[in-house]
Amino acid sequence: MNYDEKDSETKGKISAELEARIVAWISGEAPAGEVAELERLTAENPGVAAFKKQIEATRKLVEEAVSPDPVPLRLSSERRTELLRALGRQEGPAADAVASLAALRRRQRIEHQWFLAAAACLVLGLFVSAMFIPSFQRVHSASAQKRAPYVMGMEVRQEKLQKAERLAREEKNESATYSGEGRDREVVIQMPALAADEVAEANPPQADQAAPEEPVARGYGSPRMEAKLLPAPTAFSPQLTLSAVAGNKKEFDESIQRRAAGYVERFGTAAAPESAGHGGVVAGSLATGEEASLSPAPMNAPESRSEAPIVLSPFSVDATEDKGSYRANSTLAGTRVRTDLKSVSSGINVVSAQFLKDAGAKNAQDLLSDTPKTEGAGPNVMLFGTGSPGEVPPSAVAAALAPAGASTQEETSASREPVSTFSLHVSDVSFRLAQEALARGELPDPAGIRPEEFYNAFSYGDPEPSMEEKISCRTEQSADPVMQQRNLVRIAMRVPATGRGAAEPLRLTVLLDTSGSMEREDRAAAVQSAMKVLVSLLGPADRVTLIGFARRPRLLADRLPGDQAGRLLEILAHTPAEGGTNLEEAIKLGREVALRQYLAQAQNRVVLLTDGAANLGDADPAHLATLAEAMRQQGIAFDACGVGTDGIDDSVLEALTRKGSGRYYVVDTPESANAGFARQLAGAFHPAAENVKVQVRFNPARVGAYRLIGFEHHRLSKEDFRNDKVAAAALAGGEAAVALYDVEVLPQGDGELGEVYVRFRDTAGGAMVERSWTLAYDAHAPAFDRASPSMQLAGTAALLAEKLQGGPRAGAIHLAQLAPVVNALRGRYAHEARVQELAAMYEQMRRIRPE
Amino acid sequence: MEPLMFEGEQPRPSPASISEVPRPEGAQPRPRSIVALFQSEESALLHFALGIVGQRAVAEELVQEGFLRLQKVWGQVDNPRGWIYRSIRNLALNHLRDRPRETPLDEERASAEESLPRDLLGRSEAVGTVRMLLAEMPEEDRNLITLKYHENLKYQEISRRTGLSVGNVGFRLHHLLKGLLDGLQRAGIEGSQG
Repeated sequence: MNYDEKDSETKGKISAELEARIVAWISGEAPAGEVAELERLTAENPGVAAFKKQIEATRKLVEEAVSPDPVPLRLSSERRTELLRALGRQEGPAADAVASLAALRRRQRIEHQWFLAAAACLVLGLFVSAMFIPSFQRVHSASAQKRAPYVMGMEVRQEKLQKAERLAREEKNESATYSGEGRDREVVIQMPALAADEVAEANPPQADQAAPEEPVARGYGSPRMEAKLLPAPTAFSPQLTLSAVAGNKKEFDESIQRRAAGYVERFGTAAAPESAGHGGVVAGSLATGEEASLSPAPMNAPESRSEAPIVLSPFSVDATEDKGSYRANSTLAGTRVRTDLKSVSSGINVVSAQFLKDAGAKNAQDLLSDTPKTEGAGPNVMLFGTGSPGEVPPSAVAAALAPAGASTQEETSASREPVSTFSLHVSDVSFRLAQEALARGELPDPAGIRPEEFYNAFSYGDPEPSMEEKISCRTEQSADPVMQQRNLVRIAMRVPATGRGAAEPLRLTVLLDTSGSMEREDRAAAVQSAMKVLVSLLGPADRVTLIGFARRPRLLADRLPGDQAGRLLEILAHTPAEGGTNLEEAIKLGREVALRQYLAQAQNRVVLLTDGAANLGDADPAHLATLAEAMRQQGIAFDACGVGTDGIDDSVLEALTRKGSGRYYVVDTPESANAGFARQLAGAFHPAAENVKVQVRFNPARVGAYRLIGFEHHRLSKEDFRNDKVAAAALAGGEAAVALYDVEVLPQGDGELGEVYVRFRDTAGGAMVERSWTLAYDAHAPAFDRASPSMQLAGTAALLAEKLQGGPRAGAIHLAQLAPVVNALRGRYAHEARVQELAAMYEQMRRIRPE
Repeated sequence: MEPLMFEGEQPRPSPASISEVPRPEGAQPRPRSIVALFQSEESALLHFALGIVGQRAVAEELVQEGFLRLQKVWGQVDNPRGWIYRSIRNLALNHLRDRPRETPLDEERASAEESLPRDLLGRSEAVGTVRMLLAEMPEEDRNLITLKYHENLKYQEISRRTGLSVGNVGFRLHHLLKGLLDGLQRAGIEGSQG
């Protein structure tokens, strides 16, 4: 807004909000009272008048464009006949088979899906009716009687039904604000989907007897389609009913307690609102040890739906020496909007004494120079000297330290430090969590924004290398749309698609969260789907061990051969969800088990599936990450799959997988455990390149300064590049990874921009591979709005991430200016859902916080 | 979605996606065949090409050429309607670039029926460009445009039909119109020409 107002004086432009009103006006939708004011504005401000004229003209053109031509034109008749004959040939069956086979297949698939969807709806509809017979027996005994045959047929499901009913009742109690009808409807839709699923999978024989339609349901059984029938999972969560007011402590307390009551494991909640409601109190609350009663589980989702952002007043800590309690010598001021306590880390970075110990550092300075071993981000670190690290709320210790004292969000002078090194990690979790938050109408936690996970959420169609090449590198650049004199440089690496890695057997240890919160229907369904995908990827040579964990970890299945892994689903169905979450114990047992089944020539991996925060044991992310790191040293990678996007402890899972060189993904609904998820998982299980590190060596004669956008937690020191003991990320076969730099190019300078090096272990041969390419100087880098679509897409994703991150550059990023590029991307990638989602996020950002 | 049903009622599958919602005329999905596409867009494309090149015979040739090219790649093109508009425009611009001073041999015929007044040609080009941009939009957006500017429905009614909130309809239409304006200006067409 500021920007636009300032602009209106200088350039005669008008604000987006005013634009919207004008559009409504010329579309005949302006409220009567507003017309006079708009007329006045138009008369006074030539900018407004010009805009109105342009929009009116556009509107007229659009009206014409969507209407048939008043004077239809046709080709001359002979040309027309000729063309139709030429085109018509294609309509013949033979030509169809060749030329438009793809289109035909696509069409058939769609029709097929529709048929199945319709059939499934029918089946589910019957289930709905049947399932609720028990509750209606009391009221409508007559109607139940007529349905009796059906009920008998479904006896095998009685247990499920009762559970469903119970849940429905709980739901009723929990969500007093739902209208009865509305609640019924949601519950009805939800449970049949799950029941159908379970019946189809777990009890096929009975299911077949139960209803003749059953085979259809099973054949169709794609989780993606089922999910269409489900309400959004969040609509189910009790917290939606809580219109908690952050400012009002009493109500907030109550809401927290109500939520907490939903969990089997109950913790003292008194202190939680205190710190959550007033994030700025974090320091004080920690220092006094109140945090011991913090309950992470109930805290994990944004409790309040209040509109007003909680804005922290900036504060700073400055001390040149260690005074005992704070172990940092400075900290950044924090202005955060509606972050919950779970991941305080962007402005305020907190490190516990335990973490210092883990990192092998004696003080903050030590920690800062100890680059690869520490978690990175931000030079400004505030350290806490809490007595026992176990008392520190896990989230508050989302630690962050920068490599070699360099800020990750500031430019590095190429003459001072020409070399930039990082682990080439690919994930899209941060993007998805942000998307989820925006869809709820909230701004995501800036601490959870990782720009590299935004621009790596897309596929850019970068060329795939041949098997001999091992890896390809494509670079492109454009002018930076925000910073003067800067170029955006996109570096894309891709490894060849390979079938060879699949020969490597798997030794898998699955850590499954069975805590009380996993009982939620949507989460149970999501876990079921995710496990199904996982099981489908296993072969006879693989071994899988399943550990369920709540308060204590339990061994549920030991070293099952991959082809019998289907039993895991049965076990899963019979494992009750209850209790708290002791992640630490689980990881320790996981490590033990993984070591026991360790096989040198196999992929040894631990996969964690969890929906929430650890609330028992030592839940310090830094501490947990050291466990993962230790495992990594022993040749076991650590993957994590977050279930649901509203409760997962992003900072813990991110740290675990980063230290464990594993993959991190989220499954929020059964539908998201789809082909894409299977691909991710398969890629994680069979990486084509491991320990992938990139080093860019800039030429100080041509580059004044540079800045790597994102990868804040993945930076390495330059010596680590060739130190193969330092672990780094992995790439799956055919996968591409992108890094974006902001580079100050010196037009008067000399030579190329620099060189790009990549080093990784080729899993096919086990050898280390190193390649390098020149990063060419481009004197005519195009403007951002004329850059290639891939450049625009990566740049837009990075800019939106940085805007959400609220870093030093955020103020300079004006969303309104991105509109033409976002619109162009929408058109260019009309069929890529991800890009459309990005465009939607852009709009949501503008709506939530108009400039 | 339907609330709980009692005996005798048939469960009805609910529209699970927006493509189920009755589509207004003008916001077509992927055409069934290239011939169908040709028949529905022939006039519009001729107007478009004519608007750029100004000569009827050339315009016809370009449209013919465009469809023959489309035929070769039909199976690989995701959005044939958008593709053909974009192609015709490129072909027409190429034509202008390569033969800037070419005049039709038959001067008389040209002046008699083909050389429409300059501003009318400009208008055809502008309308064609809008159609091109519309064709390249996601179907949902095109749908909104059609409901508002063809069927002239109120936001309220559009909201009822699409399930979007009234505010969202206004918001999206604002951005769509703005996006079209941007697109027109990028294509070198002054939206304010009227």
